[in-house]
Amino acid sequence: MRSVCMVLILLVNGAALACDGLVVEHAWLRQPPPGSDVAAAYFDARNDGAATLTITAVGSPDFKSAMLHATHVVDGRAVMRPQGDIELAPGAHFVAAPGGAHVMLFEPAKPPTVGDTLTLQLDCRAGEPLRVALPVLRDAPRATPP
Amino acid sequence: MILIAGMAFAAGIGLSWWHNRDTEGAPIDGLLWPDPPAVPEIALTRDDGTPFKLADLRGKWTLMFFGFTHCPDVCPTTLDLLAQVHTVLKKTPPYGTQGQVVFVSVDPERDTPAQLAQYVHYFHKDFIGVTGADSDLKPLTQALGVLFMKVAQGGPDYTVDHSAGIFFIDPAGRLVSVLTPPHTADAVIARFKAVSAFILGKS
Ligand SMILES: [Cu+2]
Repeated sequence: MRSVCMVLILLVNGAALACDGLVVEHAWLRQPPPGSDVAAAYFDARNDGAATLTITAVGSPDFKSAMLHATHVVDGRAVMRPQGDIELAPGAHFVAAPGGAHVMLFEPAKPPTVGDTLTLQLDCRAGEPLRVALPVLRDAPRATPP
Repeated sequence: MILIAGMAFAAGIGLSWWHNRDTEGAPIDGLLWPDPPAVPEIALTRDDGTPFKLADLRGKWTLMFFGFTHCPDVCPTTLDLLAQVHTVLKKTPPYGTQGQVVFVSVDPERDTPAQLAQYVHYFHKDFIGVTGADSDLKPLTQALGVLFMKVAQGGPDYTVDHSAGIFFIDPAGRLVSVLTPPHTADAVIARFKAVSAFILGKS
């Protein structure tokens, strides 16, 4: 009986692999300028699945810790604050771009340098985390508006 | 947890005041005319450790931006953009011979002059980093209407909310325009050309 339950749980979990629908493209990390010990990463996310999914956390094995932040301009002041969960309906997009949302990364294992390819991880409410390549760039690719 | 550390170095004036100003006789969007605020005498420190005073603004066209080196998003994004702007504007007068980009760190606790030098020169070798004690920054930030505030991020870390505008200071040391974000290099260049032509026409 117990093993049957385990199998059922596995099946249910398997069916709820919500991160499966998550597509992340154009991920990149800005090479931190000298003297700066925090880094910011950007990406485009899209839900290609049939069900709503929720991104609950971001991280990288190349850094000690990470947080999803949003920069807002309030009365002309740039204000950086943690961003909550990101809920994506089927077909919905979320864009983290300079001057807006970003993954803030603290304490790199080694200083990120242009040419390195690191790893960005996104955790969803259900399912396996998604890991994508995170190239280190000097500046935003020109296609991304500043 | 976000806690307001309560360290507000608020200038008396909000950043939105110039939107409401009497712009009669000011054909250029965002031009602070006819009463551009004057920068008072200042006693700040340049990234090479030497003093930075009002005299360092006189006779120059200055693009000024406020931030701090532990700012991973807005500061590098804006400084990269200012590097593009600086490179383009350097090709023609009046900026060509008299133009400068000044990055003012509002986090003197963490940003030493040496650290600022490394930081600003990463974006452009011509850039000037400037900082000073909170009490020394105040005359400048107050005159320009710049607001900044330390915000704890949990633990010893903190971030600094800061003005994201690009401030144009003319060779007479007057704040003649402020660009509000989101910035584009083309918009900064166009605004600079229009504002500098207007000011030169007046003098
Ligand atoms: Cu951040």
